[in-house]
Amino acid sequence: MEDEQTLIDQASTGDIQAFQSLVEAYSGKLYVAAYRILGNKEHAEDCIQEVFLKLHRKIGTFNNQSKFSTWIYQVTVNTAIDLLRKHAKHQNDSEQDLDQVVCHKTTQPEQSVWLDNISAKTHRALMMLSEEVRLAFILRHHEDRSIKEISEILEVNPNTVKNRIYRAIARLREILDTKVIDYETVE
Amino acid sequence: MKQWNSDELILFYYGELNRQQNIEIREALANSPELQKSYAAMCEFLDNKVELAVPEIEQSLNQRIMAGVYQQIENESRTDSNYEDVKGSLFTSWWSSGFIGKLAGASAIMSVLVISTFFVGRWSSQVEQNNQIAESTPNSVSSPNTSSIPMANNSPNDRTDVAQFSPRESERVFFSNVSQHLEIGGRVLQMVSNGNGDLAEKVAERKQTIDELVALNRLYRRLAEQSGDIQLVGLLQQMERMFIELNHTDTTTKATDFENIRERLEQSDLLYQLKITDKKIEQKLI
Repeated sequence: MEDEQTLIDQASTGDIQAFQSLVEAYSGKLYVAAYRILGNKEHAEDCIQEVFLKLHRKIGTFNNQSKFSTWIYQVTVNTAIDLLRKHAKHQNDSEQDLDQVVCHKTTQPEQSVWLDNISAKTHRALMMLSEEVRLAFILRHHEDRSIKEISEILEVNPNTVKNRIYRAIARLREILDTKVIDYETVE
Repeated sequence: MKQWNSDELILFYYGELNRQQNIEIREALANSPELQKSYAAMCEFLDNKVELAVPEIEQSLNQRIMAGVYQQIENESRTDSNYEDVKGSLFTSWWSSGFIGKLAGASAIMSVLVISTFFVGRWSSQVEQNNQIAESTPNSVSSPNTSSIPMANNSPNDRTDVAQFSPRESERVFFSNVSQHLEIGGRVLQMVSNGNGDLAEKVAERKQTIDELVALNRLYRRLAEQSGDIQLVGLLQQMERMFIELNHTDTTTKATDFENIRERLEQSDLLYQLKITDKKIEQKLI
């Protein structure tokens, strides 16, 4: 891939091939982030399509004050939040979708089933957290964004991000440790 | 010695402590079995109990994204073009933008636009009004043979001539045009489906045709939407996406991109759907 900054500059001047290279470089990562926030494959794909349309409209306004990846994560998170609120009334469908997540890497079926169970439980537990706490945790733990980056993405103080992560982990441990026991007892 | 709490262990786990704090917490962990136990439990939880598997990304997602982007560019350029219209210089705008070669196509599109606008009017609110006019001037509903000719020659204000068309006749003319469009569009898509490495050249040769197909397709789709023909709308939407993508290719487009378009065309069964719809339309016309 060409130098990212070159591609951004070219895309800003309307070079569609450069923009396509950015799509190819980022769509996979952003899809994963969107899926983790939304918990539904179709919604995540819709989200990413919307994100790139926004990016195409706004790329000329990117001012290099933050990292490009931070900027596009910010657009993705905001778009995902909008979609999440829009689909809030269909929350049950979302849970069903995660229940039906079939991990397509089926080299080891037992491991895959285990992972699906963990995923479904994790998602349910995450949905029990407040939106702001959940996002901070997903971005730090699953998306490997630094606290500084998360504070830029969510536009809050780094100490606020830290507090949200502490709260998320404490609450998840409460929920999941209990749930795992329940699950094992029932199963 | 400093007492480390669980929050600081979390920051240590994520590598968010500064260098000095890192050294201190490592020392504390080495010297305190309790802290070790606490940290191990936290690692066990974060490493194994909060997994979120993600289904694999659709192969065609990037193509869909780019199709949307092209559509957005198309809409933006249309908005700009409309702005120029308001300034009263559509022809000048096209001339100065170097679109002289497209004028022939544009005039064809404009005539279809006029015809189609008439059909839309016929199908909607004017039907009743025209019937009333027809009733009041019975002599004007004369020979059915003249029905498809006068619209180009007459003023749209001439209600008595407009009343010469029945909704049924308008519908027939519309479907006849759509059928012709499906046939031409089908040939282009068939060419894409049969393409083997020389698609870039073939598409480039037919650029003008594809350009016109996009405009006509959009027009027919809107008319079909207004008449409530959901099946035809769905087909035209799929065709439009293909034409837009083809329209935005050029000689520098990679062979793999053409291959992706071809694959999606085949996966969507668009050519089959197109044939079926065309047959149904022909039956309607009979």
